[in-house]
Amino acid sequence: MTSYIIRRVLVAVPTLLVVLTLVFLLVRVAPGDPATAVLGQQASKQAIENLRRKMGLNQPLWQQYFQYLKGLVQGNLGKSLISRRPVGGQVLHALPFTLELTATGVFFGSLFGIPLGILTAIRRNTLVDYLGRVFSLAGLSIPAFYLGILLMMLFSIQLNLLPTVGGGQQANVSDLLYHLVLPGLTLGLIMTAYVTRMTRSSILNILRQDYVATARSKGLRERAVIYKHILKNALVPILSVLGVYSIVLIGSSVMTEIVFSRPGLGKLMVMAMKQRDYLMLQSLLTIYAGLVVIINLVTDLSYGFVDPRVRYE
Amino acid sequence: MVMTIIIGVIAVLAPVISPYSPVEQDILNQYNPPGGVHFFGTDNYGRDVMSRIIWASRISLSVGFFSVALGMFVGSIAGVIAGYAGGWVEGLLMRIVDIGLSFPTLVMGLVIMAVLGSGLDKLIIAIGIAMAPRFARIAHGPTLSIREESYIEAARAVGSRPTRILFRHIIPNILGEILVMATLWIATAIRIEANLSFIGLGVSPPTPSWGNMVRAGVNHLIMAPWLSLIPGAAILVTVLSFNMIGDGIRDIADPKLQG
Repeated sequence: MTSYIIRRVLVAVPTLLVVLTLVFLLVRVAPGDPATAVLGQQASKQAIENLRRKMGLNQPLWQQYFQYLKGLVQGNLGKSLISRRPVGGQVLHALPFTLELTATGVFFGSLFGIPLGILTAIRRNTLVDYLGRVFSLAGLSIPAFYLGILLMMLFSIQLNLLPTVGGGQQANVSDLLYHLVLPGLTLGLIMTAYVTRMTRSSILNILRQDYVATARSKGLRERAVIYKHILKNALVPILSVLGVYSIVLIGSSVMTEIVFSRPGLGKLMVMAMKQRDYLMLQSLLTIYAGLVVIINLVTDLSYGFVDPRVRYE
Repeated sequence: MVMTIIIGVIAVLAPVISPYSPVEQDILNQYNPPGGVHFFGTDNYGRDVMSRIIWASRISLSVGFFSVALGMFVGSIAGVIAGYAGGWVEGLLMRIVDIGLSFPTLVMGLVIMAVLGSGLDKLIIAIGIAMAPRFARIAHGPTLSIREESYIEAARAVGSRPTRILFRHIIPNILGEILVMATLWIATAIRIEANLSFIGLGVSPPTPSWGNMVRAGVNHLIMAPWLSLIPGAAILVTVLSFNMIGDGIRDIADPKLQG
């Protein structure tokens, strides 16, 4: 197991390195000079040149690249071009807000999606199945920002139950949860749609297997067939779906953070783009790439927990 | 299907059926609620919301179709070349594809928009490039098996050039699968456009797009909720109808997946 984890991490290193190189090049081919972006169009040529030198932008590209990699290895992400504050600190402040949001989305998605998927598969071609399918297709179609606005209108503006914007204080757990409910529910409902759909199709696949017919024909009660024979076998595909869609959820979390003004990575990223803060953008994309690698690793490892037949060799 | 056709007709006939200009301001008629002369009401500049919704449908549909067409073209060719060439070409192309796949399409679109700048043409390019890895993955698999078929060997034996083998023998054989995928991705492309315009990185105001209309309405949610709700509903209905068509086509193409 440990050697498997080490090997997986080592395999991820070249991928991450290619991602980092692409990100590095991408932000450098972007139009507009970062120094001009910081000082404004009216700044004198001399001032812009000075700032470029200070930012290290007049060094050859390969030197900038190695400095960037060296900084990363040392855990130093550099300073924001706009606020001149260390990027690492800002990212560390924003990361928990995004992680809490994504985790809540996955939690709600599994909580509602797995039972709904099982129900629609078992009650196939009934009203329940039909409604479940319409719900999941609507969930796949609705943009996260629109669902967020609808929930905000209902729970914050009409019923006045929950806060409209903000992320709450990290030190205060109840305040944090209070601010997490609506954005979490927004992502959770979207995740529910994906999970319902995929759970339904995995269960339908398993229902066709011979061992299900055998279990039924030996007179097992339906409940035992579902829990012992169908659900246990469906867990691996469901887990892999949870992994894949957690990555989709990271995309939706950007939008949710903007609607609810949560101070997470997504909000930081959009701000960096608008201000042409390339250094910040570069670091954020690095973090996103790292998150994707971690999610994939955790998903692969979780297979072994739900299915003892899976061996890590 | 009917809904999609209706949306398509609305987009094509926008100049004819739009009751007012989508950008003309009328300060005396701000925040008119839906009903009366302005069926969907007016916004904070007194512009007719219905006319703006009608004109914005052109943006959504053109981004949906053209970006998917671009992604399909670039991605499929890359996937087919990787599958047919094998060796280091395949290794390099598919590694790039894997990296593209590891980022959510929206995040990819965001980054490419940041590099290209805003505008309709750039939006189409950004979403097209963000989708290309998905198409490359779909095209790569079948190419690997078709490559081993005897008719490909025969084509090679009679001295056909690789480009001829790709375009005459391989691509026509995988086109069906790719087109099914393309229908499913139109809905996603429309949704990503709405997202990017909502953030302010897509189509810039005053040109109306459903995404930037929802965004502009967010500041007036209490006073004039229709400004966000109606364009949002337009996005939902359009994406839903394309998703339903995509689902239907996929079920016909692959009955095993049917419920």
